Amino acid sequence: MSQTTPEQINSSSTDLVDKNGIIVEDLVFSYPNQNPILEEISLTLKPGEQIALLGKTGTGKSTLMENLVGLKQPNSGKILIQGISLEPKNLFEVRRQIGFGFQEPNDQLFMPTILEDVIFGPCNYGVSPEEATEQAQELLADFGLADVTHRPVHELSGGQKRLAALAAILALNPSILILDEPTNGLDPWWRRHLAEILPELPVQVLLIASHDLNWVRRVTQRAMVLQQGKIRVDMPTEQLLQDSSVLESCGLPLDY
Amino acid sequence: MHISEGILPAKVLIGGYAIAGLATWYSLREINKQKNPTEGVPKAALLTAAFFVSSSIHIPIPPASVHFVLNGLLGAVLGCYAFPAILIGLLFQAVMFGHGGLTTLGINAVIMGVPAIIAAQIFQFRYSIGHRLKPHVSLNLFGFFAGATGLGIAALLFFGLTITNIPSDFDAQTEQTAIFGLMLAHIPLMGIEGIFTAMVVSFLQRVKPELLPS
Amino acid sequence: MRFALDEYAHLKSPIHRWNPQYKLIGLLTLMFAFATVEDLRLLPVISTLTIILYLLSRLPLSFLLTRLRYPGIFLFTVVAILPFFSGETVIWQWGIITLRQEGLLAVVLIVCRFLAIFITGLVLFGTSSFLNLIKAMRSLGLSPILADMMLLSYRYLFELAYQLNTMQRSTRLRGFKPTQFSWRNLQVYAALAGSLLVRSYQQSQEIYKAMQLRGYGTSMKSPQSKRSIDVYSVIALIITLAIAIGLIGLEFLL
Repeated sequence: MSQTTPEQINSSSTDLVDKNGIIVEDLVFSYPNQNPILEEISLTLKPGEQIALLGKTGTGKSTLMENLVGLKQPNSGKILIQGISLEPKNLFEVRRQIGFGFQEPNDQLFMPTILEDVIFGPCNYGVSPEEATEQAQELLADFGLADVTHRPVHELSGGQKRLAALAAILALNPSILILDEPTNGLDPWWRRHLAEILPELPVQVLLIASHDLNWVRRVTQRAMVLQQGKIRVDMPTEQLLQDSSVLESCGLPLDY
Repeated sequence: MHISEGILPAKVLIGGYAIAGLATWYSLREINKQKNPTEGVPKAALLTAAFFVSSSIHIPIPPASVHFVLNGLLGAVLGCYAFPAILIGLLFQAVMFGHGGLTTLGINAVIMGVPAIIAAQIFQFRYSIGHRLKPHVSLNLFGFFAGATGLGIAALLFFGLTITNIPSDFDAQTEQTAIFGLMLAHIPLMGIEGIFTAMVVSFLQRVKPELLPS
Repeated sequence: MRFALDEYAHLKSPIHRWNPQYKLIGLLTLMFAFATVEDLRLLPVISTLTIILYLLSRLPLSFLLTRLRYPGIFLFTVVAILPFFSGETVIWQWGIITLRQEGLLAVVLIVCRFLAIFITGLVLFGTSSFLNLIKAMRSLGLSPILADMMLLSYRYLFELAYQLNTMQRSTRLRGFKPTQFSWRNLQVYAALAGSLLVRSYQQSQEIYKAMQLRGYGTSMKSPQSKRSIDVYSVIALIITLAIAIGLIGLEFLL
């Protein structure tokens, strides 16, 4: 996929892009009357980085990511997205900066056709339907989905849905992309295709939560492991995946 | 329980639309009064689709098979979204299955929707009238009544409207007898619908109690 | 279950060209005008109009015939009863079976009206995609809550039907005999319906999150789409409304 540079949808968004990436300070999250799921998480994701978030199921990867996009509110701690502190009152503006890919693309493609899905975001942020449609058609063509823009979503294959969901979240020109298990349900061809596309995307920070260790080594340079509510390990991906003692202590499989 | 096109005179159709319009307006008003009206939209929409699909389950009751109406259950679960949900479900049936029913959308919505609202209220009585019973007994009992009443009133409205409005020379006496007879035949069906509703409501209470209104 | 009338929405015909907003108003009014007809002399008129409309739409005949199956059952009941029990003028008798004129005429009226309204409805929904019709309703003033509910329900209908199908198949693979009527079977069906409700509820929570993340619920006002006057559609609407009003007027006079 070639380097596309879609125009900024709204010029005021350039003010928010001040190259800070994501900064988390002492994040604590728990459900009411329960033990904390996330305990004093601190991390910095800088522009230009592609990071893997690893950990066994249930360690809180999805919870952490939902905190980063404001779907859950932390008990304490700070989250800075591109220099802006994430708070309930500014969620609408800040969310524009982050594209979040769900584990299940069916939950994310909620309009009858994928074209409608891709224009949904921009229309909510003040873009006219005509302009949004034009941009959406270009974006979908770039992803090779030009033939299916008007087909009902349930007729698409798993791989096509993944790409369509990606197009839908990229339509708002986010500078940060967070993906939750993006290779779930994809066959080897699609996994490779996705690995080729992701580095070409015009985003500053790419955070991927995944169990697919082999795939993740192709797409990310840095890996963090979440274990028992804390970031236990933070090192280059290749180094982590070759160190069996670290893998074992993190509860990750040795024979991936 | 749906009246087809062409049977009812125009004035009944318009009356149906008027009442349905009123009920929809009232429902939308209640919805918009909530702190976050759009929050309930995905839930109501998905449940509408789920109810629509569920009502296609055929239960064999020899010699034929029956499928449930579930308007009582829908009323219980969806609250103020119930009437819009029924309107949309009927529109889908009219359009997608091609059952027809566009001119009769209003009156059909009244036939299904008014009992749904009543059933919802009956189901809520499990807290007030039924407070002396054990919770799961109350749940099952009022679930049963909600389901049975939902179907019963819908059937009454359906037969009443159809029989009295068909261009025919039957006298009032014959018509009333016919309605009475048809309703009598439906009592067992009301019972089964009631039992089924109680079963589903129990299931929901066990698995996902937040689906039921508190 | 056969869903969707969108299969022929892509054809080209005078009706397909008609802008969905105007088409909605025009054809719905026509359908109501058909519903007001009581005088038998107008039946040839509405029948001819319906045939012309269907021919103009270039929808295949098979489309109509397959759709007639289900509503046919309800009508059949009415048709079967009225001519034999309604009215006093006996026109034919064979043993205890008496065919009465008033009943027969009533059936003719009902069936004609039904076909006219039903076919017009098919033309309306068969010549535009459901999505476009919802958009048209939205721009005609339909509440956004209702429009959004319709879009989402429509989208997930197919998935839920598929999920139900899968669940039913898995019960059969585990020895469930759906043809028996028993307490236990009823419980299984209740569990199927309940599971479907729970799953759809859980999915709706995820969907709401996805919608929120793309600005739903706090949207900025979108600049109004340029509304260009589509002369063809306006003329078609005026003609249709004129016919509808004409029909109602005739019915009133006769």
